[in-house]
Amino acid sequence: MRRRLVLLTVLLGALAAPAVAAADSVFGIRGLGLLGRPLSGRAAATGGAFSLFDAASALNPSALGQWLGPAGWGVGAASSRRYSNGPTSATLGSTRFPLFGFAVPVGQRLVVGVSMSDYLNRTWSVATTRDSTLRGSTVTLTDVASSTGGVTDLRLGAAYRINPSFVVGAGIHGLAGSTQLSVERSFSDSTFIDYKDVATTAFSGLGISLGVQGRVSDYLAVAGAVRLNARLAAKADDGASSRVAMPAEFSGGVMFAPVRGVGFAATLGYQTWARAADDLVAAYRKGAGTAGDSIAAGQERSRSVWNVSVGSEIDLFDFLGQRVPVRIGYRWRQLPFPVAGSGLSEHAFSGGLGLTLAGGRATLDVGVDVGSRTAGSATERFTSGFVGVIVRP
Amino acid sequence: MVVGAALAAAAAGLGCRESVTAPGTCPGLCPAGQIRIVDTTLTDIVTSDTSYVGYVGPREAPFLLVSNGDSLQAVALIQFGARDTSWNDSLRIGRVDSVRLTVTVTSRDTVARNVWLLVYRLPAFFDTSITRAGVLPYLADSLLVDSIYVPPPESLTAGLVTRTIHNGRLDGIPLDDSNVVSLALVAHGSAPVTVALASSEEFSGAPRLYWYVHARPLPDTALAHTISIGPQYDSFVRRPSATNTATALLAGGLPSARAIIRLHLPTEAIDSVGLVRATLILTTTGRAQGLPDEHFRLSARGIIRDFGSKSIIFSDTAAGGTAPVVTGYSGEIRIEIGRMLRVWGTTSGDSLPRALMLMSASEGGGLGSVTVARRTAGAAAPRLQLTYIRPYTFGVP
Repeated sequence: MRRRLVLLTVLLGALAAPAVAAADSVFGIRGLGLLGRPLSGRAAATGGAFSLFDAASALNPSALGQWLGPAGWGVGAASSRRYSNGPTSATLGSTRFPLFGFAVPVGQRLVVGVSMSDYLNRTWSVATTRDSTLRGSTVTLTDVASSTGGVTDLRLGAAYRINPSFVVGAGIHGLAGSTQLSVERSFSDSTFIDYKDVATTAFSGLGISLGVQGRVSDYLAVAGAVRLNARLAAKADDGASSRVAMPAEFSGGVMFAPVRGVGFAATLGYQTWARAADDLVAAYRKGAGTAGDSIAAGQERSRSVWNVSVGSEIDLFDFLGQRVPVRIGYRWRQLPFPVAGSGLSEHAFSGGLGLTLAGGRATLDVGVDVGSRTAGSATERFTSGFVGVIVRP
Repeated sequence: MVVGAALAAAAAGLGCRESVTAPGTCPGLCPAGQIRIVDTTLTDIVTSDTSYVGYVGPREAPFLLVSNGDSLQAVALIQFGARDTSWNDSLRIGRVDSVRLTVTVTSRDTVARNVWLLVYRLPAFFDTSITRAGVLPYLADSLLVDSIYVPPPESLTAGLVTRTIHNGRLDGIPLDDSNVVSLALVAHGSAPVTVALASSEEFSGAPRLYWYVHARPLPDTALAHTISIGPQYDSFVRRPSATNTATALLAGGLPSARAIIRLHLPTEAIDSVGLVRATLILTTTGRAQGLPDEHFRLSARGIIRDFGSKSIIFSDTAAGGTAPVVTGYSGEIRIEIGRMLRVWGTTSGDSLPRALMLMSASEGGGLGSVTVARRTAGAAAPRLQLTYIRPYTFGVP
C-alpha cells in the first residue's frame, strides 16, 4: 500500500509539472529551438556517454529494463551563461527541470515507464537598441523579443528482458507544448506608449522509438536506439499553422567495464534534421507575407547533426557506508539550426558523483557541465549544475 | 530524513535565478519578424463639435479677481456674514472700536507699482446676479470705505494684506442690513494691474472682517472683544469676453466652457496594441485668454456617455491628455490622446463614444481659456497625428 502511495505521488508530481525544459540558450531563437538532452543526473555527469545504458534517461527505451522495482526520478538544472558576440556580451542564468519519469515492472521481464523530457527548448530573449527619427526627433528604441516554452517529449516506454544479457524496448512519444512569443518596443520619449504584442503557438506531434541493449561479454555491453518522428504540427492562436518534418534519430553506444565499479562508455548519435529545412523555409515564407519569397530564398536551412560523448564512472570512495561513483565525461554535438550562415556546435566537460541514500531507496546524483556553444563570432559559455533524484519506494 | 535533507540541499543549490535576455545581434540572433512603424496625419476626423459654457462660475472659483487692465476688468464682491450682537447671553455689543479687513493675495502682476485695493461699500444684500456694469454705480467716491496697500512684488508676491478701517467708515451698520456688510474691491495702480485673492472656496486665506468691539453699557469699556466674520458670499464680476462659439470652440475660462468633439476614426487609429502615439492637433483662433502670464493645461478628456453638455466624462485624467497653454499663446495645441484611443481599442472600450471633451484641466481654477478652430475650418480643423506599429508577424513555428 505504501509503495503504491509513493508511486502515485511520483506519478502525479510528474504529470503536474508545468513545464519540462533544459537550460536555455540564446541560440534557441534559431529554427525550432535548442535541442533538449533527456538525461538523468548520472548520464549528464558523464557527458551523456552512459545515456543509452541509463534507465532514467529517455533516449533508449530498452534501458527501462534495468529497473527491478518501481522507481521515480527527476532532474533539476541551474545554468549560468556568458554570451558574447563581438562587442556585446551578457551574463544570463536560469533554472529548469528537464526530466521527470517513473517506471514499474510488470511481471518478471517487462518494465513500463513514462517520462517527460525537454525535446526543443524555445526559451530565449533578445534585446536590441537603436536610435530612430520619429516625428522629427531622435528617439531611442529598445526592442525586446522573447519566447517562453518549448516542446516536451512525453514517452510511454516498455522494455522486455529476453534474457539477462539482452533487452529490447519500444516507446511511443507524444510531442506537446507551446511557446508564448512576445515582442515589445519601448521609447526613450515618454510621449510614445510602449508597444507589446503576444502570440502563442501550440505544438503537437508523435514518434516511436526502438532500442536494444545487450551484453557482449563480461566486460562489454552495447546499446542502440532509433527514433522516428511524424511531422510536428504548430498552430498559432490566430489560426496560422504549419507542419515541419522531424528527424529520424539514430544512436549507438558501447560500455566497457573491466572490473566491478569501473566503467567507460561512448555514445554516437545522428539526427536527420535536414529534413526540416524545406518546411521551415516554407513556414518562413508564409509568415513573412509578400516579401517572403525573396527573403526566404536566403533563409538558412537546417542541417543533419552528429553528437558524440565519452565518459567514465568509477567507484572511488565510501560515504555513509556506500561506494560513491565519481563521473567525468566530455561531449560534443552539432546543432541543426545555423546562425547567420555559421553552423552551431556545442561541447562541454562534465563531472559529478552519486550518493546512495536511505538504504538504497534513493539516489542523489549531482554534477556540473562546463562548456560552450559557438556559431561564427557568437559564443555562449555555460556552467550548469544539476541534481538528479531517484526514488525507489 | 536523509533523503529529505538531500532534496532540500539540492533545491537550495539550484536556486531560481532567471536572467534570459541577451543583446540581440541582427539578423543572426534576432527574430525574423520586424517592427514596422508608421506615422501619418488624419484630417477630417471630426463629425460634430459644440461648445458649452457655464460649468463652473466665478462663485465656485478659489480666487477673487480684481483687475483694471485693458483686456481684463474685474471687481471682487464680498458679502460678509452677519455680525453677532453679543458675545454671550448677558453681554451685548456696544461701541465698535475699529474694523480690520484682511485679504490674501494668491497671485499678482509684478509690473505695476503703488498698487491699492480700493474698498467700496455695497448694499448689504446686493443682487448676486449683478454684472460688472451693475456694480459700477457703487464705485463712487461717496461709497469708498478705505484702501488697502499691496506691498511691491519684491516684498509680497503672495500672502496676507491687512487694513484697519477707522471709526466712521464701516462700523455703522444700518438696522435694515441685519449686521451684514458687503464690499466691492477694485484694483488701482501705477499701471494696469491684476491681483488674485483667495476666496472662500480656498482652503484658507478667505477675506475676513475683524470687529473690535466693547460691551454695552458704557462706561464698561474695559470689556473688549474681537469678532471675526468670513464671507457668506464672494465672487467677482468682469467684462465678458467676446468669444463667438459659433465660429470657434471655447474651452476653459470663468464661467468655464467645454467643447465636445465627436470623431470618426479609421480602424488603425483605434488599436489597443499597435498604437504608440496619437496627437490631437488643435489650431487656436485667437490668443489664449486668462490672467497675465497664467499657465494652464487644456485637457481632452474621454467621454463615458455622450449627453451633449451634460456628458459623463472620465474622472481619470489619464483617459485623455493635456497640453500646456499660457496666456497670449496662439498657434497649434497638441494633446496626446494615445491612451484614450488604446482604451477605445479594447473590448470594454468598444462601446464608448468616440468623443472627447475639451476643457481646462483645472476647471474653475483659473481664467485661462482658448478658442480653437472648428471642424469647418479647413486646414485648421482638428486633426490627428498617428504613430502606430503594423501588426507584427510572429511566424509559425
